[in-house]
Amino acid sequence: MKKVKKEKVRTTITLDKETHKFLKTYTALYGGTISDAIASSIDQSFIGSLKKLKKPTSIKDISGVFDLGPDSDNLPTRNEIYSRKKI
Amino acid sequence: MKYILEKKYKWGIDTNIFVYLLNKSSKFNNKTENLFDYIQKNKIQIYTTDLCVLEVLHILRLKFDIPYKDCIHQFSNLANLIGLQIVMPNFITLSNTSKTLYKLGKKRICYDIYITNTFKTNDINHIITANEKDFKLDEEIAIYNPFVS
Repeated sequence: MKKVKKEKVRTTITLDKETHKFLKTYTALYGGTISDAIASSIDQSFIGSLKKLKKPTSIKDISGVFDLGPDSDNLPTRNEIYSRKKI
Repeated sequence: MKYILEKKYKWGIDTNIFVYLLNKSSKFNNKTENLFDYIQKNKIQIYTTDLCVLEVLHILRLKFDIPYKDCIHQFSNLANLIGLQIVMPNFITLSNTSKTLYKLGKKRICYDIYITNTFKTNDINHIITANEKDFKLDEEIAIYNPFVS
């Protein structure tokens, strides 16, 4: 069987100054390199989603980070949390 | 809104308060945000228990399907931002919880009492919660409900 040589694909993307600065901080905090962070996706929306991970500096940055939908104030009681029933 | 959170006390925070803060759709979100803003600006030291942290993660994951990775990430961010300290139970916590359960019999579930005693064994007698009844049984505990004016 003929061995097929894997071709390396190189993609060049341009990061704006702010994104580059953010990725530098992000990788310093969470490990890896900037290339690692980008390699998992070259989609710019990925970088956009990474921006959401930046460290909050005020309560406003962290308040409401999840949208749990309508009726979400109806939280389970402790009895329900520790039972094996679906909450 | 005027808060009665005195700096001289150690304040414990219950599970529900964290969920309301993180939840954009909660009708309590604004008030909770203001409360934490006040805590941060006035450098009030706040605490929670290990069990409360696990409950927040459990509720977000199992009830609302938020991946654990995101729950942990955002909760850690919050804890770092406000200098939240997590207190742990010890042998006295377990012993006091057992004594209380023995006295009360079947009437109460043990987790409310265990959390109350975890706070108490760490010298925390003031608790911020929306569920006053969870801690009402213990007369040494002062409860502050930020949603009741």
